[in-house]
This record gives sequence, structure tokens and C-alpha cells, in this order.
Amino acid sequence: MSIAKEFSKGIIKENPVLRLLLGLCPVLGVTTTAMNGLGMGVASTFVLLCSNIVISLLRSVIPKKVRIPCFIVVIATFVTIVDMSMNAFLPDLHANLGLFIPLIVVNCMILGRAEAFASKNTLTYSISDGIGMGVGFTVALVLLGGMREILGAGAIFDYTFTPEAFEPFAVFASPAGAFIGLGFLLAGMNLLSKKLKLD
Amino acid sequence: MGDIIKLSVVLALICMVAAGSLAFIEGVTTPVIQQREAEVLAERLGQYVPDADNFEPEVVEGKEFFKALKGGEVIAYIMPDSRGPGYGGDVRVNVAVDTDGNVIAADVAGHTETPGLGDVIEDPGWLAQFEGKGINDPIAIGTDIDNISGATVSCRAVATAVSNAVEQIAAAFLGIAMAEWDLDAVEDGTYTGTGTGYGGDIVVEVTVSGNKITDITVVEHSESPGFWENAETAIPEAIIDAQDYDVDAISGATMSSNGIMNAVFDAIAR
Repeated sequence: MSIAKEFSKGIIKENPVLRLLLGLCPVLGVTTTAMNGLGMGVASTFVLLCSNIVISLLRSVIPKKVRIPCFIVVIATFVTIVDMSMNAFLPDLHANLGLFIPLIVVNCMILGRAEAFASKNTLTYSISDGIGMGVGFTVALVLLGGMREILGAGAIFDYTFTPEAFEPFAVFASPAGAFIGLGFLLAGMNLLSKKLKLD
Repeated sequence: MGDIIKLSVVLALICMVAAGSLAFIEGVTTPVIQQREAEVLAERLGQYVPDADNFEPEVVEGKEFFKALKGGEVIAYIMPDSRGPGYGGDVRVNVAVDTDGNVIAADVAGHTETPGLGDVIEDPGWLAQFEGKGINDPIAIGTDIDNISGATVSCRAVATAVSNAVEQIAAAFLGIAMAEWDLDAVEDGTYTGTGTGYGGDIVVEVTVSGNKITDITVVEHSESPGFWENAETAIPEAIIDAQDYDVDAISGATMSSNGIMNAVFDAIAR
């Protein structure tokens, strides 16, 4: 067990979205554009990192019987902080992500890391686990968001690069496109994991 | 027993710390949010009524409105955040209305409609169709306002929000009530009214005698032959029978039927 390994496992080997299939609700919901994916990824990473830190520090204090309520209170607090700060300082992004910010509370990736990792490991490991998992989550969201933005709107990060004759596939902007896009990403990930012999 | 006390104390302590930090952050962010929202609203208000030099908020029956002032005189009223039920939640529309009760600007302030489908309601060209609509003008999607295919529910939500705002402003500031169907108040005579059918306006003459509708004649129409005939006599007969404008439409001529009903309503209600 090393800090670097705890960090890097979240990006490929145990990527929360592409390998563990955790927290798919926001993955499918907000990835209409790459920017939305990035915003959601960063917000979730912040919450994950903060909750991992606090839960790791409190792991000897929190009694086993009430650990889940304690985790949820900690997570919900950070989510509300993100929600309010984003509304105040990044209003455009907040308007786009809307309902999905409060829903980070029930993102099973965050509770999953709290329960499976932070409550059992020391602070430094929990920090690197939180950052690694957060980066992996963000990468997956940006990939899916970018794919849907290119196909569904002919643009990437709001920059239109396709010729005018390109008619965007409206289905990729709609929820159905999220499932189709995620299917392709998972197929690609399975191919990659076979090549890298991860399983 | 001691166990339960320990559990409760730990959980309560965590909650207290959480609540305390949230209260602190809320205190920091709320003024920023309120200031930004006020700025956005002020900027938008200026776009709706470019002639106005000042805007004044006024609360009527718990609802916030804005009065647009020019040289101290009110030239328009604005209802922010008028709501209509859309596909993904309420569509919020800001509506500006002049002192005659006609819409001068409708603008979608916020919505949670499907990106790529429902968000076409933000199109200024489409929203411009609401301009000039008054309190007694029908605002129906498909006839009075173009429907956008793939976004019917979202379009209807905007229309609902706009008519709602026009009604509320008219009731709160202009003292204009909605047109009402009240045959008892109608004097004997012949009245002309207009409704929108499938091919354009339908104009009818309604004869009232002794507070009863005795005759309905269609003066003008441009409906499709082969469909129009179904509604041409049946709807006026049904209206005279019922002494009410709201009768069942004839299948195969729904739009023509509704056009006649609206024309009769228009004739009697004013």
C-alpha cells in the first residue's frame, strides 16, 4: 500500500464510473456538455476529498452503530457548502447543474469511499484515495460530456468546430444519448482493461 | 444504556458542528447571491422596457411586481417569475405588460426542460410572438402562437405563464377583469365576434334576444372545404341549444369548431 498507488487506482484500475459503476445518476444526468461534466466532477471531487478527510480523522470517534448517519451528515454538509458557494460565485455553472448538486449527497461513490476506505485508513491514504477517485470520476464525466457535446451539438467546451452542414444528433443531447454514450465508454474501458490485464 | 447515550452524544455533536459551519457559509454567500440576482433582474428589466428610467418593486397580495417608470409616470408593469408547468418542472417567465394590458416582452428566466428539445423556448424570435397579446386575446399554442415540434409541453408552459402574468397584472394594477360569459348582462341586439380556426379568422354575428342567443351566422371564414361543413351548422345549433359557448367539438373539424366557439365567446363576452 503506497500513497501513489492509492491515488492512481481511482483513475484507471478502480475508476468509479467506468470500472465500479458507482454514482451513475449524475454521470447520466449532467453530461450534456464537457463543461457541465467538468463542473460536476470538480464539485464531487471537492465533496469526496473533504468528507474523506473528516471521516478519516473522526474514524476512531464515530461509533460503528451510527456510522452511516454520521457519514451522511458530514457529506451533506459539504454538499450544501458547495451548493451555496457555487450559487454565489459560479452562477452560470450552478444554473446548468441545478438539481444535481444537492444530489451529490446520495452519490454512492462518496458514501462508498467513506464506508469502504476513509473509515478504515489514515489521513494521508484517505486524501490520496479521495483525490484519485475524484479525478477518475471527473475524467469519466468529461469524456462522456465531451462525446455528447461533439455529437449532440457539434462543439466542445462551447467551441463550435464542425462545419455548418453538420447536423447534430439530437439524441445525444437527450437522456437516451447518455446511456448510449456510457455504453460505448464502458465497452472501450473493458477493451482497455483486457489489454492491461486488470482483471 | 450507556451505549445509547454515547451514540446520541457523538451524533448530536457532529450535527452541531455541521449546522454551525453551514450557518457561517450561508451568512457569507447569501448577500452575494441576493446582490447578483438583483443585478441580473435589473439588467433584464432594462431590456424589457428600454424607455423606462427607473424600476420600482411593489408587492401585491404576496406577489412581487415591478413598475417601470419614466419621468415619475408608470409606463409598464413587469411580473417576474410567472410560472407554467413544463416537462421537467416549472418554466419561469418574466412578462412585461404596458398600461393597456398588452404584452411588450416575454422572456424565459429559468427552466429545467430537456436540453436540445425543450430549451428552444428560449428563442427570442419565438417569444416575440407573445408581444402585443392582451388580456382578452387567446394565447393558444398551435393557433395563436406557433408550436415547436418536439417541445409542445414546454411551449404550452410558456403560454400558461404569460397568460397568468397578464391576468395578474391586469387584476392588480389595471383594474381590468377577464372577459366574462354572462348572457343576463347582454342587451338585445346583434354582436360580432372573431375566433381563430384552422385556416384563419372566423367571424360570426350573434343575435341575442331576451337574454338568449337566438341566431348565429358565420359571416367570414377560410376553413378547408370538406371539413368545415361538419362544423358549419352543427356548432351554432349546439350553442343555441345549450345557451353556452363551450360545446363538444365536431370530430374532423376540431379547430373550426373551436374557432366558432371562440368567436361566439368574443361576441358575447365584450
